[in-house]
Amino acid sequence: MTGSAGAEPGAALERATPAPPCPGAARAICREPGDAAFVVALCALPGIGPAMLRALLARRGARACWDAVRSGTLAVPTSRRSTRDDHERLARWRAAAAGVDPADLLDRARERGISVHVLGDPSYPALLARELSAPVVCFTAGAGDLAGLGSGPEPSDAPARVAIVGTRSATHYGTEVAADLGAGLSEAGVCVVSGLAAGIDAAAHDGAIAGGVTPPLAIVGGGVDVVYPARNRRLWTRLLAVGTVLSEAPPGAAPERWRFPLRNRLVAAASDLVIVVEAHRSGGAMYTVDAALARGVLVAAVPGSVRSPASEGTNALIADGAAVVRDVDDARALLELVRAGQRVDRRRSRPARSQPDAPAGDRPTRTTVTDMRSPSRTVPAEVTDAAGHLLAAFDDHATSLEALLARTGLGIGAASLALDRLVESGRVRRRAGLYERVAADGGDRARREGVGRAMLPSLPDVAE
Amino acid sequence: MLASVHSATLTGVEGRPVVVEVHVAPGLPGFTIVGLPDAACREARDRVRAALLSSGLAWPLQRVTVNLAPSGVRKEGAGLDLAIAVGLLCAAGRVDPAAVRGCAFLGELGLDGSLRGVPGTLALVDALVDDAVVVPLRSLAEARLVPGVRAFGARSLSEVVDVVHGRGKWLESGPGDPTGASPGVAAPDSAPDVADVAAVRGQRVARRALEVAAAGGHHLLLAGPPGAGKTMLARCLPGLLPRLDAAEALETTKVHSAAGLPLPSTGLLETPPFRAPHHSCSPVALLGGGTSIVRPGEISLATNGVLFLDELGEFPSSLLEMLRQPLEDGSIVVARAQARATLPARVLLVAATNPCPCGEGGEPGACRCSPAMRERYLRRLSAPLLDRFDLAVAVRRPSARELLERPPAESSAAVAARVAAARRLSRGRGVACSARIPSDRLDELAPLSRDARRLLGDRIRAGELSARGLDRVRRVARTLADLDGTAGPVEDEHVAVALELRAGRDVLSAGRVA
Repeated sequence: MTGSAGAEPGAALERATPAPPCPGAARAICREPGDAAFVVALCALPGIGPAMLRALLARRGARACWDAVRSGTLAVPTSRRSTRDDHERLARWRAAAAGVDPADLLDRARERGISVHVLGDPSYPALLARELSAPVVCFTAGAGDLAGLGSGPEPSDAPARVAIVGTRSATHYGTEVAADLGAGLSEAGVCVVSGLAAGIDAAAHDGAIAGGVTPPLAIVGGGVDVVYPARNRRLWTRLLAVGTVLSEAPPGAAPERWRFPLRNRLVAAASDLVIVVEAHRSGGAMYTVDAALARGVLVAAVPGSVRSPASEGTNALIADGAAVVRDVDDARALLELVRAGQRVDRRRSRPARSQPDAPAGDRPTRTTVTDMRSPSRTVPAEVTDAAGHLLAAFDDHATSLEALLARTGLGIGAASLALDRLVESGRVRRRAGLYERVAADGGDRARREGVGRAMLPSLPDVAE
Repeated sequence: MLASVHSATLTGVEGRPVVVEVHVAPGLPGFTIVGLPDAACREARDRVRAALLSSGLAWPLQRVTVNLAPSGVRKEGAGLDLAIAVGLLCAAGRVDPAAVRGCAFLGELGLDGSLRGVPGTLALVDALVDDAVVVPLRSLAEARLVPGVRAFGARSLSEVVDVVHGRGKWLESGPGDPTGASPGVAAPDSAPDVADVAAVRGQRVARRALEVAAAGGHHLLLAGPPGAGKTMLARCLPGLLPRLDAAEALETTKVHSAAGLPLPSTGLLETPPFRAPHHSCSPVALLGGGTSIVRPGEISLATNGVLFLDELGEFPSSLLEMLRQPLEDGSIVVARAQARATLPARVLLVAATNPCPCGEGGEPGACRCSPAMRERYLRRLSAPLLDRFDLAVAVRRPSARELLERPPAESSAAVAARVAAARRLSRGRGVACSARIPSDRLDELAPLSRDARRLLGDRIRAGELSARGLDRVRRVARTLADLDGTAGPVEDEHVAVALELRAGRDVLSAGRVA
């Protein structure tokens, strides 16, 4: 989730010409048959983002755009920075477009089981269509239909959707909670939405697949056929077998960094409720939170240990008033509230989302969390040996040897010996038959505490 | 006229030869048994009379006195019936005394003259090795387990009389004998209450502890909340132990036979027994005893096998204290006013306990018992008793994921193979298993590598290990090394694991788990 933000190429332009807030049908892109192929071809141009694509297509038809790119006659000021950049970009596009047959591109995607949905098509997910920065085109793969997103005009009968997001460097606590939530929500008939990244995302999807009732939805940064990260391959395959993978990047698109914050806005847009399981003070999960808040989507967080850096973000969210989710029941109760609110909204014939939309890809405006100091703890360098494995296997609770063995896969001999050395070196504490990791800067802390004790006698003076 | 016939009676689990002297003299018809018979033995008069008449033999209408010599020893049960009947027939002149010379008789008589088995046949026959022994046919297989014995079977009193008169032959095989035609009622050959360790999900530490307990003969304490699988784990242990060797099998069979428990069809118990007395059991049931006749208790029935005390904290503490001496000695002396017996008690003790009254003490943050409640609960487990356990492991409830998704683990057979190999290494050093290494031979049999020595030194200096604990850790480490196939000095890894495998003590001794 934590794709760091590169500015999307067309973000500035998006601000200049905001699309009108109207249903997807009114913004239909395909004005004549065969346009879908040209939209796909345009979308596959290097470095073109959803906002720029939208801007291009707002001015002329898809076929005309494509022809202009091919002939080098595209006369659109694509950036306000400098015309030289524009010329370079246009030249790149022209080179990339040479020899591409749009119809062939579309056919090949369909042959590989990838569905193409252009804004305005009946198959286009209704919920994304209502999104101000709706993708012009999106691609889906997998066995799940798009019911999770409401392909019909009335998405109210679609199952509720809950995003479960969080840090990629999650603790065992986080992944276990995410998996439990994913499984519980799936069993409760809720579509679990996440980004299929490492850590919390993967755990949530894993749980949702295990729950097995409601097909999960994954919204990914790269093409729907590009497995990223590679170690998620098996999960990816399992998810495709039951659920849906959705992306606004064309098939084969590499998961470039700038795509992830954009992906996160879709995760927020597609969900009735966003649950952050674990998040550091800053990172991709926080982009999703900001996108959700901008759209009036309720944000909830799972509380964690106040000593766990991976829970700093979520705990801060709770301190700021986010709803607390401890288990599936909490999540379902919140979801009930949200859905009840939506029903009221519909009866009053008001737009479902009352808050103004934030420009896509813009830096978040909520700063309480992200402005705090950066995370202090990282995975230690010595992850290669047993001790490192063990250190990485600790969460912020007292842990049994049994659990450590299960998490690391180490043999009992190697683990016992390594634990002994860790206790010896003060990295780990043994208490009542359980092990606890001493804070990473334990040595420093101990020293500080020593100093603190030495200073105690002077405290009354300070108080006065 | 006087006749004497050899037989035997049971004291504890040992047989004791008895000479049945029968005197038949003119006088008022009567029948007296002297020589400390118990009630069942005294009632032999009525059984013998009915059996004689049913078998078509005449009852002497004279004064009959039966003396059971040595007369100072308590005689129990109905096992002397056959000997009394044969003695009576000799004394009355119906049977030639010369024909039964050098022959001993065991068996209870039915009113129809049929012969019934006697508890403790094995021990009784063992006490009669100088004679040929006639036993009920059903007990023949068991009797033949005694090396060098000449045992014969018979189905009824009339059969015995016929053979003695030279009108027939002793039966050579009984229904319980594998060569016999009709199978008898016997215990199943594999005990049904033994579980396969493959069925245990997760629990790698506890599984390792089981393996070490089996290989080294170390007593094991399992501490954990209800539902963590403690009982299941304990039931796996007999399946990991090696099969009993000849001497062990005889010893255990003797005890089971003396207690009148069913034996397998071969007559010999070859698999380690598993006894799990309930915590409401009486001291006599657990340790053995009785008012006049000493019977083996559960600890003796479990000899060469596993004694499992579930809910250790629920046993009366006085009872647990009584266990300490037999655990140390491997035998128990039961002394009563009229009898005294030494019973085997070489058990592998496995105990399971909740860490506190609510049972959740092992789970961080879950226990809601007050420290005082915990202390009261744990006070029953005295430090000297806890010291008997070389291994103490905290068992936690497996997570749902572990229960559902973990692939089945190693089977008991695979673990048992490692256990057997480790025991071979130990026997090579002249000790049956590491738990029995005397303290003064530890340096010789379980030397420590330099790293291992340093590791132990650190723990002792940190106050985490006492001198007594040190010896126990060293024995367990020796077992771990043996399981690894390391015949040389014990490495630091083995010591580290040995220390881990007693960490369950901390769960019990610590107050509230943070």
